[in-house]
Amino acid sequence: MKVWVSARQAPATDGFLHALGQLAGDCAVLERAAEATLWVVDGVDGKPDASLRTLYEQATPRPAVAYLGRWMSDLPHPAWAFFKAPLTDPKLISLWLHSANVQPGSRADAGLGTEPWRWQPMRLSAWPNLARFRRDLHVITACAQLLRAPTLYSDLIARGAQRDAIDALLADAWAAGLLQLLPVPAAAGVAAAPATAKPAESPTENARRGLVSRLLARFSLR
Amino acid sequence: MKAVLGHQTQQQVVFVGPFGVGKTTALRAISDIPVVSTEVASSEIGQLGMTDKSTTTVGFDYGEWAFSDGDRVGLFGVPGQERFHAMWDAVLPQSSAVVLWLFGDRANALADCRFWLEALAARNAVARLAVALTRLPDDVPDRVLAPFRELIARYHPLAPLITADPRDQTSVVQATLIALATPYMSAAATTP
Repeated sequence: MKVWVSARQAPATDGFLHALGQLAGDCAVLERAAEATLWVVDGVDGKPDASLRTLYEQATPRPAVAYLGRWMSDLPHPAWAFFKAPLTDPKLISLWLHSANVQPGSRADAGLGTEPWRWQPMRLSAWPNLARFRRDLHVITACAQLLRAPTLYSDLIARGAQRDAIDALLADAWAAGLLQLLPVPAAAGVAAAPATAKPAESPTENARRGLVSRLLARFSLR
Repeated sequence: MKAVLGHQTQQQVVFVGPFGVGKTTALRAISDIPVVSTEVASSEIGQLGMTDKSTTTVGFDYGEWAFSDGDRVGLFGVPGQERFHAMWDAVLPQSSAVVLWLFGDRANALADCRFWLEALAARNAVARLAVALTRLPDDVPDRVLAPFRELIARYHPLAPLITADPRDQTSVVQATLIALATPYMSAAATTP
């Protein structure tokens, strides 16, 4: 992904780039804003230079811009996406990238990846055959989560599974017709699904989950 | 036997499946303690043409996972033959996870699968089930698994199906973890 940042050393920018990298793979941070497809503009320590707005309006095509700031009222341009710093929920980046009206072709050009499951909530209709994924037992908990509720790619990565294993798993499940993609509006439900919306689990179920965690810690090959 | 009956493990994992499929072998692959076995020489083995097996389990096999905080998880292998169903009734209702081991390379594998699922459903044990097919390659085409998946879904829509090798520790751990992690469904929701 070709990214330009307005403040390389800023903590909010660092955090954002880390989350972006977790979601979409390696990010190439470019020196020239005009060559980047995504801009990360840091407004935490003051408003960015006004010339940035002009540069943006002259760009063809225009980049997707993430503005990191404290107050939405500081947003320098109405077309830029506001992210309150520090970013605490990487899901928001996933939703933003999906809604940024970036065509799949240009995503590929930007090295962003075109797998549909990276950008939409998804769920499994059945367990895939996990025999090929014995090297990463965390894939099991990712599958269990995908069977329980619609989930975003970024959430799966955050649960500890290796990105390569998750990518291979999702590709397999997609090819086998076991992976269902859901429209983005459902993602709002996913993102907003608070603990209160979840039915209470029985002590037995809690014990089972606890045992899964202990066994993962003991037998994980990583 | 006293050691087994004299203490309570908080959770139990149960391996079931037909005669000779590898339940005892799977248990030995993962247990922290030497497996307490009740194997004896079997006259049925010769009739079934099994040249690599000379014994069968007549009571049950018992192993354990022991954790540093003192917690223990009981690992049970229960006999496959129908005359031992009383053992099932004693062990299955308290289980946290059940792994059904089946021969994946047999012509009657699907019928076998149905028989075992019926037996487990009768004991409300399909809600925490994983089905492991042995003697198949890991990259077996999905079309081979599809009929099993369809059948199993009638008993539990989310029950996992995998290929596994009972001789391999990682494979057995994976099958057990999948059975533990599969989303729970109530008995009412899993009645076919």
